[in-house]
Amino acid sequence: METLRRYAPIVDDVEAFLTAASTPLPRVVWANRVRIGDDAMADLMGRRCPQAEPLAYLDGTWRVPADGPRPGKWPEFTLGLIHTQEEVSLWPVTVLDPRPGEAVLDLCAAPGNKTARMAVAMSDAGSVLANDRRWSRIQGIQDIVARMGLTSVMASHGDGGQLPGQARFDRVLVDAPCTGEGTTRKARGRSPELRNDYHKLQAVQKGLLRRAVELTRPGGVIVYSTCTYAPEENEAVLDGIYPEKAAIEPIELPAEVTVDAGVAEWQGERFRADTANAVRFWPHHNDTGGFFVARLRRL
Amino acid sequence: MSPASDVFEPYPQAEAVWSYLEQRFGMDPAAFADHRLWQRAAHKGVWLLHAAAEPATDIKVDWPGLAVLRQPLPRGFPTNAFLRRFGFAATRSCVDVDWDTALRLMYNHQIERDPLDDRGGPYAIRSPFGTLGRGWVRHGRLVLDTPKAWANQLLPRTELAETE
Repeated sequence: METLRRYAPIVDDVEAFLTAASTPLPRVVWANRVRIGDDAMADLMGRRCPQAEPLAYLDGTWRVPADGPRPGKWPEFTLGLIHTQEEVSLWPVTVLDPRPGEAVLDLCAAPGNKTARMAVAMSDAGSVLANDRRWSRIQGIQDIVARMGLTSVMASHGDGGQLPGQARFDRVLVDAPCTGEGTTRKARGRSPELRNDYHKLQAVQKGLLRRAVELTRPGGVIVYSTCTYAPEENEAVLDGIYPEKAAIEPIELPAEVTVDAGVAEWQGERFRADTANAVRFWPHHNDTGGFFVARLRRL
Repeated sequence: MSPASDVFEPYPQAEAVWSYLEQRFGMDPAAFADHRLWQRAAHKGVWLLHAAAEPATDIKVDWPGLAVLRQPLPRGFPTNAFLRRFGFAATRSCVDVDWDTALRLMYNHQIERDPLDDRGGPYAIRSPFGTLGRGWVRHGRLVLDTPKAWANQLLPRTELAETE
């Protein structure tokens, strides 16, 4: 975890951060509300995992202890009644807030968990285009969509930075490929490698976000998220969007959830002022993985 | 394959599919009022997509929505995924089983059972926790069409029993 010490200037308690980043991660189970009601879900969780606790601030979601049972092995998972995901990964879709009937794009969709979450949030009514660069990973999305029985999801494969078409989406999620430093808890404490290629990924991420802005209707919403801490892959990417194209909006989160604001400066580089509206999830704050989420409004 | 054959188009025989689902499973076509059927020109599969969505023509769509038929009628029959989602709307050709029997079927066991008709299926197999999928009665035994991997993906039944 020592490689994560580079974030000491922007984290409040670096020792707590490093300790949390190496402990096992609780699992989260959420209900496929297209197929199971709240009462049936509560009954299911009571039978399968009595020690699981509902998360009041995320609808239909239950936290299973890290040493608890494996929900992905339950028959209800196989039947598509539930899905399992890391808690912090639920926030990009919650912030995106897709509504029934809307046209939504998931620009980097694989493995498809957030795509499915979006379709369920829309009551499976509307249009979700799940795009990913690799065809092989599109098959994984189809597995999830077929298992959960969702009829509003389409898939395409291609470079998200060059996806053709006009501004036709109401909401776009860019869950960009990143160094994944925030996933160390899923990797059972394996320390991330020391990287010096942040700027290579940054070019890809900027291309994806720019295209996402172009594909969004005026007034539409774009959510940019990564599972990494590096400001090079987060605030610096947001800084690459012209302020007259999109504004970064404040994100309202429940009081129980502790986040830090996006940083204004990193290693001598200053970012546009509204990057402070983005939020950073640190592992030691909410007992989750690490994440970065920003919500942009197309102008 | 030409680019034109990659494009999804509205399935021209949608009425025949709704009619088949009504005759075979008693599913009211109104249950699908918010959906449309799509097919790719050079392919056999028929897909169910919400009416608010339409496969783009300027982007190559790999698949739209949920597969209903892998082959057109009269040879084809509904997919497992389709029956799991819409099995609740079936009023005919349904086999209702208890949860223990449902688990046995999911673990690729076969259950002795008389067929509901002389065709032996397909049937919608339903449990108290939702539709399991597509089943058949063959040689006096009810079988659930499951991916073979299911038995490995699921917890061993003994371990599962400890959680119930």
